[in-house]
Order: sequence, then C-alpha cells, then structure tokens
Amino acid sequence: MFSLLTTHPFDIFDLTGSDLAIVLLMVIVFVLALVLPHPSHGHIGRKRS
Amino acid sequence: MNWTTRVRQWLLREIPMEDLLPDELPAYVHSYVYYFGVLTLASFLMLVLSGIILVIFGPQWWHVSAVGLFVNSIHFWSVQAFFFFMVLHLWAQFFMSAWRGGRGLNWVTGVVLFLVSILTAFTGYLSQQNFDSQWIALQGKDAFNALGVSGFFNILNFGQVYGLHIVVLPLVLALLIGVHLYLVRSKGVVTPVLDSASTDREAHHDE
Repeated sequence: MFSLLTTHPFDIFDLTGSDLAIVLLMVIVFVLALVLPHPSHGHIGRKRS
Repeated sequence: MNWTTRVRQWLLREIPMEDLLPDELPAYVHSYVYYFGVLTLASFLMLVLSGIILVIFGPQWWHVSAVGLFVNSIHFWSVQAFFFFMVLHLWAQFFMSAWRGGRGLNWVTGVVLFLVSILTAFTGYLSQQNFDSQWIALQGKDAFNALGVSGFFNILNFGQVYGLHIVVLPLVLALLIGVHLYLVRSKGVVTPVLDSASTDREAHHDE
C-alpha cells in the first residue's frame, strides 16, 4: 500500500504511522475550521442586524 | 542516441521508482521526529486543494457564505499547520545536522522553501480582500519601498499580489518541494548523529 514513510505498518488498514498522522492532521484541521473559523471573517460582507 | 532517450535513461538511473516510493526504510526512521516533513507536505496539499476551491468561487463567496467561511478556515488552519510543522522540521533537521553525507544542497533547498513560504503567506495575507489585508498592505508598502523593490513588486497592486499568491509562488513551492523530495530519496534519510560513524552513505546503499 502507498505510504510516505516508516517501516512498520499498523494492523489497521495496513497504514503506517505517517499515514495515520496525515489523517489525524486533516481531522484536526477540519475540526479547527469548524469550531474556530477564520478570525478576520466578517470584516467585509457581514450582515448588520 | 537522441535527447529524449538520454533524458529517459538519466531519469531511470537517477530516480528509480523503488527509491521514490520505498516500502522499507531504515529502523531509525521509525521515530516521530521524522513525521514533521511529511506533515508539512500534507499541510501544503491541503492548502493547494482548499486554495483552488477559494479561487474558483472568489472573495464574495468566502466572505459571506457559511461554506465559503469553512473552506477559508481550512485554508487558514492549514497555513498554521504548514508553518508549525515546517519549523519543527527545521529544528529537527538542524539538531541532527541533516546536511551530513553530501546533503548540503537539500538543506539549501529547504532554506529557500522556508523563505518562499514566508513570501507566499505574506501575499496570502494581502489577498484576503478585507480590512486586515488593506491595513497590512498600507503598512507593509513602506518596508518594500525601503528595500527598493516596489518598482516591480508593489503590494498595493492587488492583481499582482493575487497572481503571485495563487499561481507563481505555489508553482515555485511545488517545484522546490519536488527537488527537495528527490534529494531526500536520492541520498536516503540522514542517519542519527550517534550512528554517523558507520558512514551513512554506505548504510543507505545497503538498504
């Protein structure tokens, strides 16, 4: 299986440590994007109530 | 022998596929310190993908819609991850003297990548299309005037800055990353400092 680094695959889905690290990074970025959106958003285009 | 044959033979000799995507590496690579480079690369890929979506739909979309805000936020957090892991990668390679064994050029491409990344991030700040980017451009123009480069790099010129950010600089980064990875694969991963007595070049040829 394609993998970018390391010699020792984990047993789950034949993934290596770096494969899992990449997946974990993507999950963290997605969650951060949801709970802590871009800080400058709304300076232009925000509807004022 | 024509030039395409020579190029093909050179590529096959210099970049064999089993070295580009190896499924076995030395045992010392099984350490978290070797993850930082590949995590920087993964962050870069997320930046490119989210950036392409942002470019397609434009500033009005990312400033007013919920989905646009989400993709903009992914781009933002990917940048944080990109620089976070790049600096960790830099420290890790610095403290293990990763330029040993004829890897000096790879260290140099890494330094250039770092500098180009800073320029890419800066033009990204200027491309946000909000008051922040206007403020940064107005404050930063004096620095670039002082450097004497504003004649050809005018950060108040949005078209120029945006073009650099979404086309020129990403292409330069991608090219440099390609060279960087090729050099890693061609020389092999650097050995730990304590193991360098066994002359790392031979160690890699024995893999």
